[in-house]
Amino acid sequence: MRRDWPQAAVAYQESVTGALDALGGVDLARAAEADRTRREALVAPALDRLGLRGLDPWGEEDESAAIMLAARAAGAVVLPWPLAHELAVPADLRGDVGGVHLTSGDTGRLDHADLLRDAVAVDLDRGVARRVTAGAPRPAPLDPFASDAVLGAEVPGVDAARVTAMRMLLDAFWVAGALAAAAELAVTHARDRQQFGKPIGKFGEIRWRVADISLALDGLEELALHAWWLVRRGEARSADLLALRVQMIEAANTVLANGHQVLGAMGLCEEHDLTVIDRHLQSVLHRPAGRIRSTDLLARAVAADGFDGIYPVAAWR
Amino acid sequence: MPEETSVDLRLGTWADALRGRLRALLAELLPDDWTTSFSPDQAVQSVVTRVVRRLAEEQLLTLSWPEEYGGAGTDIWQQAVLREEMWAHFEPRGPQYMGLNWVGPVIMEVGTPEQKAVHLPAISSGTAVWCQGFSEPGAGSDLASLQLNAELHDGEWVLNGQKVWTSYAGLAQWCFLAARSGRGTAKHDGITVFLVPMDSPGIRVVPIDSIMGEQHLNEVFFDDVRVGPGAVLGEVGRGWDVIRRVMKHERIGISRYARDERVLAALAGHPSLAEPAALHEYARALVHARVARLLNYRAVALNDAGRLTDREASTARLASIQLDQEVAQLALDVSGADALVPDPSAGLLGHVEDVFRYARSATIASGTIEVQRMLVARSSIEGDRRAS
Ligand SMILES: Cc1cc2nc3c(=O)[nH]c(=O)nc-3n(C[C@H](O)[C@H](O)[C@H](O)COP(=O)(O)OP(=O)(O)OC[C@H]3O[C@@H](n4cnc5c(N)ncnc54)[C@H](O)[C@@H]3O)c2cc1C
Repeated sequence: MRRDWPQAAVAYQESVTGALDALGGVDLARAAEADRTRREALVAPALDRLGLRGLDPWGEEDESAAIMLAARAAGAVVLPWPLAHELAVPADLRGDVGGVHLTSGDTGRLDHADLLRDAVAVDLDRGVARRVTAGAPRPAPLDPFASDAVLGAEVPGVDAARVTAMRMLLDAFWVAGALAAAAELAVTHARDRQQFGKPIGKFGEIRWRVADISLALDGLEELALHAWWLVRRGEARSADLLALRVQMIEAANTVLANGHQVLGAMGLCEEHDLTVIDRHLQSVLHRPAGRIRSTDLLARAVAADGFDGIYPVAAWR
Repeated sequence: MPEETSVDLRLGTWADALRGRLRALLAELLPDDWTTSFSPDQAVQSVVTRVVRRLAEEQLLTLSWPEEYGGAGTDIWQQAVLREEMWAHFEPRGPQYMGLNWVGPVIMEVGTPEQKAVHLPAISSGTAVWCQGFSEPGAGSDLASLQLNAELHDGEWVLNGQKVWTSYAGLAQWCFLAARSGRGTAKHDGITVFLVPMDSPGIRVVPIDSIMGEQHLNEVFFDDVRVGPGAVLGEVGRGWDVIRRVMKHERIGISRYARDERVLAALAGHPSLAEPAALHEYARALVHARVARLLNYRAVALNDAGRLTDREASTARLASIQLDQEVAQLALDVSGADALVPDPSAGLLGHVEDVFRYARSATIASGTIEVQRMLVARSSIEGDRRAS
């Protein structure tokens, strides 16, 4: 068993983190939320300097790993850019398809639809890709980069299963990065904030929450690594990716709720990164499907295809 | 794909072979209605003896022990697979898993040549049963406050006091005993570990009936029990160091997730899963089982590399023990009320009530869930601590 990321990928993650921090970190998200044009003005050039948008997640191991860790680094600042959408487009389609949205059933809005040219929406239930036509921006606190979107004709030539798997993988790394940042904020506060004459991290209740945060986050990181490796080996089934999505959502709920609780009122302020991370993460946690619907999709996939393990679950439908 | 990748999460092709070999062996040796091995019942213990002897013959009992102590000297992953398959089959090594998992290894680390010569061959041949005499009525999570008294009289140690919750004490020939031999500035000082024969005059074992079944737990009373200086393991007064070593070996001890995966696999296609609410919970449990296994593998890998900290050791345990209770609850729920009564003819699913009863203790035994959370939080907030 070898479970350490390739050195080159770790080094790339560090350069992405460095570049995004130099641009203000989570402040980029605040800036873009205040003025959407800043996505293209500020974020796109930075990503191009890093060469990130040209990389291929289906490429060599180092390249693929670098992308996953870069998505994690971008998630850590909830980067106002549809990075996972872009990178989930296979290299041979990048001329025709600008990005991938995932949907499950009808949808009237998609995130960053106004920014992505020639995007497609892949429907999880039916496995078809359809052309997306963006309408007016509909920003809201929990969906800061939403736009109206109309789904049009089917787009042939998109391998829906392959693209869906990659997008779900990238989403998981993105969310893992965001949750790691949220966890760090909570842990630092538990260490620094004093009440009743001692750091709140000395109180059992706070320690309990910190432990649950760590457990949820570590579980997601391990499952994401495992799913990435399965995808690389061509062994990932849809249930494997849906399992990752379910863990991603459950981990996010645990980390964000407990993180807010540890931070008290301060964490609710727009000035505090936790609130921005929380709000900006909701889109990926609910698109294409929230916890209940994602669990339902997983359950159906397990019944239809089984689930691998040391005691594999046999399909029964 | 290139042959040699940086990341490779397979245990190795040998793992499947070892699994297959163990499953075939257990299918041959275990009765169809086999559940718990932790009963003093003669029939049960004769199965345990049969399994342990056979494992010893096939060099499977002490896979990862060094060759100089009668082991096969394999890597820790083979040991991990062995642990998984044993726990998945209701630990047919019975109480002996303790001797193999931690008593033997700690004796190797700190024992005298005489102690090694007496104990290691007995453990590696599957002939010695040990019990752990740590907890006392006044010392549970706060183990260092233990009071069982050890005093030196005429060159012999005299032991007086009480232990409680001692698993398998009625079956054991030896007790790995923590006693108070003095007092220091900290309560961890002045503890000494003794290796005590359970047939010593003055030892009295009183079984405690519990939800896990009769005589799993016991009280053990020590009334002027005398042992020689050769019974001291490690240094007098420095027993806490020995206990920490025990805990290090114990924390990656039980592969609960393996049996949970087996139970989940057995539930596949159950008519109750036609109910979406049940199927959803089932799907979530599968995710949690996979996560628990991966967190355990992380701990094993880091332990092997000498980089294990409390955070990884205890997140692995937290995931496993919570999974155990989740799966037990789910299995009983899905199976329906009739499953409250064991049904030896129904295979694994005839025993979900046993799984359920046993799972009640998952968050208490070997350090409560609260203590595990404390360890994770302390590691996160105050910096990583090596788990050794
Ligand atoms: C199946 C089983 C087998 C066992 N086998 C053995 C054995 O072979 N040998 C042996 O020596 N012992 C054995 N034990 C005992 C076990 O180690 C203890 O039960 C365990 O350490 C907890 O101690 P306690 O039961 O006294 O609970 P207590 O320590 O009294 O705890 C009661 C509750 O208080 C909580 N608590 C305690 N301290 C704190 C704190 N600082 N902060 C927050 N919460 C706290 C606990 O988490 C728990 O919820 C066994 C127990 C079980 C269930």
